Amino acid sequence: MKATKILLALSACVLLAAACDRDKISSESIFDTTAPERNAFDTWLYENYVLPYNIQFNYAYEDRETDNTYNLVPAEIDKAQVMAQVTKYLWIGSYDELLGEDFMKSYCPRMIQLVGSKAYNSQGSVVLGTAEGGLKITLYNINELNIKSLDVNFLNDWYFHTMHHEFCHILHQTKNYSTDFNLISNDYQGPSWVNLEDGDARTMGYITAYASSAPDEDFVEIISGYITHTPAWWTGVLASAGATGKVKLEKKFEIVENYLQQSWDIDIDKLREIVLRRSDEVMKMNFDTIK
Amino acid sequence: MFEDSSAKRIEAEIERIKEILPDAPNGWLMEYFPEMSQSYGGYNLFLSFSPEMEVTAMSEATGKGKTATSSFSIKQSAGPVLSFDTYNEVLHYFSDPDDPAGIGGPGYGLEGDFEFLVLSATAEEVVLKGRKTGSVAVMTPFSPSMEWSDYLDDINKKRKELSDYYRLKYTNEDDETFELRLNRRYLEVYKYDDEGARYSEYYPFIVTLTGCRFYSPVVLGNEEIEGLILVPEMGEDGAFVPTNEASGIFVPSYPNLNELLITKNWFMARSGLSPYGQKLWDKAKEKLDAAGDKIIYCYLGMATNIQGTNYSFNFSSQKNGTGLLYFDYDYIGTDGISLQFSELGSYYGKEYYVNYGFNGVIDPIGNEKKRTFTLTTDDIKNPNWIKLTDKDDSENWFTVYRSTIYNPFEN
Repeated sequence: MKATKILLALSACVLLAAACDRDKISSESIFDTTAPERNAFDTWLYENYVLPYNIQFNYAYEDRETDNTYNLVPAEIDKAQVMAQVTKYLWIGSYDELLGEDFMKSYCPRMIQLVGSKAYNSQGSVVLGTAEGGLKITLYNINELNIKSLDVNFLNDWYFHTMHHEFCHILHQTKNYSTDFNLISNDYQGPSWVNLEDGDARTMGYITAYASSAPDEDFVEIISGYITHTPAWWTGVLASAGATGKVKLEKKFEIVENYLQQSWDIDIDKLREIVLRRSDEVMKMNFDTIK
Repeated sequence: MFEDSSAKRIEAEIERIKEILPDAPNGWLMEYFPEMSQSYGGYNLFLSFSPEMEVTAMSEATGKGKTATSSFSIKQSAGPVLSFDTYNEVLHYFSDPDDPAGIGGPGYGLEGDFEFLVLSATAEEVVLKGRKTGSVAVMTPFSPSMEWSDYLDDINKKRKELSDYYRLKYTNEDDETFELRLNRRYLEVYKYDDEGARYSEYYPFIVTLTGCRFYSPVVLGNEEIEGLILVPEMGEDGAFVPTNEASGIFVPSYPNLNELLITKNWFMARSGLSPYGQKLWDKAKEKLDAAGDKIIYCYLGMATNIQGTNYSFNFSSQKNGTGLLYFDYDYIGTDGISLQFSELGSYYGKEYYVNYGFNGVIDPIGNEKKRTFTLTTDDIKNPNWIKLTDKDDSENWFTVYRSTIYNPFEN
């Protein structure tokens, strides 16, 4: 034992000696620590996303951060600016208002990546957004935004719904929901969801056709659908679902509501109220402030 | 081996590139080939870079009337990467999956890159390699003596001139001849494998002020052709001269007469037949008259229907519409052909064969016996008629016509 130890010690010395013969380690860091050049938009993002929430808002295309299997183009800078403001007000702001700033600071994704074009799937559907492991949300199709005349329905379908949808993925990826949810429906469609219309899906007990693709999607579609539409809309959905559909939707909603309250202290009806009010307010906002 | 660490060297390189790009007084001309096999050909793209990291672009695809400005960055990856990272209507036209060109289809578009590895950069030339496609794009400073839009005008003019040519042939000093087809954005070369079967090679090109330049040189025998200069005054119908040293030139080629016979439609009439043929047609006409029927027109040509594509004697009858009788054919040299009825046809083809003497109508073409013909014409480049002279039967010959002849059994 002792012999081995000495041997080891000796070899260590030899190695060290050899190492000492090489170049000295430079004291210059290869990482550039000077502050980057920021234009007005970059500065606004620094003050409104980075400092308060530690979120990196990528309006420019980052190849490493985007999926190489899709053919994509970057976002238009004007539209990216509007999107940055709308996202802050409508999404981060809603949760801040309900739960105070610490909630978003803790749970928000650390990166938002904007992409100008849609991402086309091989079966003809398009990807609106993706959420990955609680850290990053990618929003596609930014270039289709009409910033001269904001269209509330378009904004809802393409962006607000998607933002909440993706954020809810982050929530349930952090704290999972009850597996009882998975027992309510037993006919999830997988990729064949594209063959359903929303109307059919509701009679099957799914809030949208996309919800029928998998339980996780079902879960977040209920939340994002519920909070981005009026109470009358939800009543209408239940009414159109027929007897069996309605029962399933109501059972699922109960689990969703309890999950949000118990795991996150989120009252879903209060959240809806705030989101809807802020949606109206965002329509009247002036977006020329970043220059 | 190196004085500095690799990270410091890339940083220094990035700074060097940042100085080179804005330095060209009239911007840069990029020869850009989207898509990983360059199948859409090459596009002339103008870029002007500012020290404030903005780029302005104009291209052959979106036209001289449109310029767009956006930002660019130079990042570190497996080397310095030039990235056009906010949306530019001119630049991202080539990458947009919404397919603004209407060519590649939704989800694809032209599949061009907008992020490039900088392979080399000097004040005289910047060589880029697309990140996804691997296609190489070369930028050279554009001469201050010309406007971008004027250059695009010239390119458009040259493109139109190129489109006058389609069939070309090249003969080298060993007397080997190659058949080629000049398409809008690529040159197709016909080659033959060991079994004599024909296959095609495709060479994408970009239009230049004098003609075109190929993305990869065209391989013809032992030679490689890098580009073509169009000389419309050369020879009878113009020619293309290789931009690099080569043994031959490219001249327009014309289809062989027998190819023309098969690939186009040729109308028949009684007056075009020899007396031998006329007698057979008259017999058929008697039967048609007796039935109160007549033939509106008839021609030789390819017909496609549910049974496939066949070289046919096509006729249109007043009473029953279209009838087809199929023929087998073989090319003999450039001006010979053999024809014989294949004993197949459409429903009415067979009807008329059996009941209206059409077995005799097609006899001069080749029925029970296969007939071999020598072809002659008025103008090989643009024939109005082709005469088929039976090599084995001096009494049999007939002429076919480009224009439609109505009531062929009477005219």
